[in-house]
Amino acid sequence: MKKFYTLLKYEIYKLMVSPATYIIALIFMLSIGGIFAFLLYDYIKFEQDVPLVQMFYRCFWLPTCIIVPLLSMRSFSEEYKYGTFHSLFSVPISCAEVVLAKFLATYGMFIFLWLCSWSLFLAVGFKSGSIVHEIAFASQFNIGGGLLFIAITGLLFVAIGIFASSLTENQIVSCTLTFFLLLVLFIGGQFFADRSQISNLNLYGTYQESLNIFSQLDNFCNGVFDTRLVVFYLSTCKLTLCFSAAAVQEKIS
Amino acid sequence: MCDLKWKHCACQATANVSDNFYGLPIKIIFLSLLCHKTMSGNDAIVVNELTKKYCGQVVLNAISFSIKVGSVVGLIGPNGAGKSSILRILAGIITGTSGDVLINGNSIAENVMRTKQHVSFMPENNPLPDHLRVGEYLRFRAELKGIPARKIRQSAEKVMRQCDLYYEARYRMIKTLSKGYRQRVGIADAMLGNSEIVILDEPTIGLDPHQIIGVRKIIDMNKGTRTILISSHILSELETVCDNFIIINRGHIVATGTLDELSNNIQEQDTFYAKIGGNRQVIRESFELAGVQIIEIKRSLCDGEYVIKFVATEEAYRFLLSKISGHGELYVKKIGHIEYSLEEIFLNFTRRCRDQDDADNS
Repeated sequence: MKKFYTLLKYEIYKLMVSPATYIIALIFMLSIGGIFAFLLYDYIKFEQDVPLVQMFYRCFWLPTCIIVPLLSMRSFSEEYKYGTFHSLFSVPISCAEVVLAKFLATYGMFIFLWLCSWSLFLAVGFKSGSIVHEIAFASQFNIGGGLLFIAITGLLFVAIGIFASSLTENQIVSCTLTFFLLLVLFIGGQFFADRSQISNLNLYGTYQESLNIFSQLDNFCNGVFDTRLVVFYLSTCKLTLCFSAAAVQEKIS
Repeated sequence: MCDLKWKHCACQATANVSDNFYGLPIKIIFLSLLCHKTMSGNDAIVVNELTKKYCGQVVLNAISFSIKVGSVVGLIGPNGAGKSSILRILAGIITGTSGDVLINGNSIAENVMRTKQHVSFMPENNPLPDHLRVGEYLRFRAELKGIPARKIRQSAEKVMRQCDLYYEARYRMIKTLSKGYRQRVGIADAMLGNSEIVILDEPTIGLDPHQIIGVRKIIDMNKGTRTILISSHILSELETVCDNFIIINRGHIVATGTLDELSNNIQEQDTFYAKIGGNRQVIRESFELAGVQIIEIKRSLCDGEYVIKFVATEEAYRFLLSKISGHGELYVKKIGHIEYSLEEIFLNFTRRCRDQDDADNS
């Protein structure tokens, strides 16, 4: 366990000292800032049925599709490219420990960046006396729900990024593959859920509901916490990480 | 290798006896205990019938060898012979397709984590993370190797001093280091901790002569206390530091032993070498009189003396020696058995192997 903490510490340090991480953070802040400003402007100008927070977090897929591939692409691809995994695996640590350390470091950074989105609402809150002030302070609970949803679904998204990185030594290929897989998950999941609703197919029950990411997001923002979703994303995350460990093992040997 | 085979046979024989008298479960316990004791005795590494295939292509073909505790062994072979595969299997990074490897008596196949605790490995090209300082990197590696927290700083400083990194490179970022310093960091990492077996893949590649001497000193310091396995193409360097050699070619072990043993192995007859001054005709007559067959005679350009390679029986050699030393017109500067360099031995064995393969194919 001590070696795992050493690895985790090393991975976090690697992310923190890399200039690329700060560029990714900047891209992320610009993208969520832009989305927020656009939605806020729209919200004040036209009357909306859906709360601002919910509208904002409904757009979470776009920044996620940008930062997850960028954050995860270096995790294994870089090790393969420079051959550092040979010395890494010459010490008594397992593939699973390495995969988990890389996953947790990337996931930690992903969560940290999303927590920064709270600052947008707080910043708006300083404009006291306006309608914006009411929006900002009335929605703190909803923001928590939205962030909790992103934290849960992020488990699978980051695991997909780690998996793509474990397949190739080319960072661009890894980034593109993650982006593509996430798009398939977002668009395909929504499409699959819509299609089965239209044709009254209820073959997959929970899976169908879980794949309908946007309806789940609305539930979370409104304070409905679904434990089935947690189980679904935890188990798919675990499965993806197992595939990653297998891919790393295969790559080494 | 012969020892190993004998031990294997002994294990088999005992297994059969125990099967007849005590039944299968007792056989297994008895067999495993005996094999463990006999095979791991004084050997740090025992490789038994190890085969490695990559996508159906055989890289290592049922190789067997053993390495004694505290010895320094050179693993040599042409490119693509399977050296790096052997080293990676011994380091527990990759697994063999079949066969077994015992590290200090522990089977890699059974518990690779335990065997990794006994082995330090420096991979080829020595890849290092660029974003760390030398001291930080070595402390990180010490933590991963399971060195107790209170000893980490001390261990890292010790190897940095051994590898001349302490004063000049301790606080430097790895990405700013020259090739020589990077190699030293890799060697320091391999020497870190108390692992009994150190495996170095091309440790002196890209180093200048001063740095090579430095690496030699580090290896000498650890001689006897640690088992060191080195793979290198700089054969003159291996000749200086290694006690034993393993020559591998096309996935087969073609020879093992000390330099003398290997040298004797390639001498098919009693071949001698002499450097004699005097008249060429007189030399020829003296050799013919002694019944010695000259293979080659060449005149040295610098001193005009003759360099002669000849085949003789021990008796004829002694007779020739007395004949020449008593001859007024001739003087002997040097005479004796031919001493082959590691390079000549290596070339001879690998050529022999290639010729045999060609003959089999034709």
